[in-house]
Amino acid sequence: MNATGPCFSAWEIASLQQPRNRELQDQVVRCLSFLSDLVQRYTGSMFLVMIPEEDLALSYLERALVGLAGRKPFEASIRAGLDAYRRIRALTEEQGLSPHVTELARATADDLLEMWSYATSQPGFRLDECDRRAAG
Amino acid sequence: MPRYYYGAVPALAWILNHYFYGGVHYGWLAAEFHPLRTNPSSSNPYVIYGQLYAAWSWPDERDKFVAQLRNALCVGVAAHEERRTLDAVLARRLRSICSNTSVAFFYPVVYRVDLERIPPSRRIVAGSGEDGSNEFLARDLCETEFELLLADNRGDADFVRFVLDADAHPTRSSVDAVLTTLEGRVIA
Repeated sequence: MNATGPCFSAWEIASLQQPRNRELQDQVVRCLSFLSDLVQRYTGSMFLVMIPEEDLALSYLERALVGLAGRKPFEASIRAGLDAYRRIRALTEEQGLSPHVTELARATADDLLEMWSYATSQPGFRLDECDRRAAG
Repeated sequence: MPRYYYGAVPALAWILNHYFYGGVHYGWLAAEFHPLRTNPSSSNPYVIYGQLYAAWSWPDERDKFVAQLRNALCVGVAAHEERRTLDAVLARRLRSICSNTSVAFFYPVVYRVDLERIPPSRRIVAGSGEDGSNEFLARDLCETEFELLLADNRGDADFVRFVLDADAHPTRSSVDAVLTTLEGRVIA
């Protein structure tokens, strides 16, 4: 897990993986999916982007976040991811899709994928393996 | 410009499009299906096909590329839910399926699209497509607008039933059968 990027605490992971928290788990997965889609477009590859209209994807995420309102640690963790996305977007406005931006976006996308894997109770994907896919 | 464009997707994407999204298919298409570096790797359907085939054949349930695709398919489900083309209960079931169903449903299939049938207004160019890569996004392909290639996974009875022998217009019972099967074959 990236020490400086978005991540869940051990308590959040344990809570998400309890069967009685399925609804919360689904809300978190929805938010993380939209967030990943937003970050993915800055990695240098659009292949995994499912909502090409960025502002539409952002509006979907903001609506999904309403469902998490008041679920403090989870909402805060998703908002930390949203802040990371906004930093990447702002950097891109300054310097274009530079190698620094795409590297940061890939690291953030990996952090979000790790969060998604915990939220879906499927930890264990080899997310730390070298990315075999060249930027495109 | 070549006449045919190609896209590689996991069988699960085809199944979602066919049974749950009204037979409307979403996918990135490239001008070649070729091992040489004709496009960046992430936009080369041959490379994508190979990555999926390797994960499926091992079978490697913990492959990172498959995890990325699971997440992307969850985005597609959530987007349909936002557009009210899926209700919340079905969307939740489909998100769970995308996250948990076996890598057996990530067997790759290849779309071959005749460009003459897709007007430029339906071709969305973005990302590396704006930077010289010969690719575009088609988000509204009908099933009469593409051929399915390399879909020869006859050893898997569910693949045969739900993909190769699929009815053009899914019935309620076939949709239920797909859901039950996908929910029953999960990551080992």
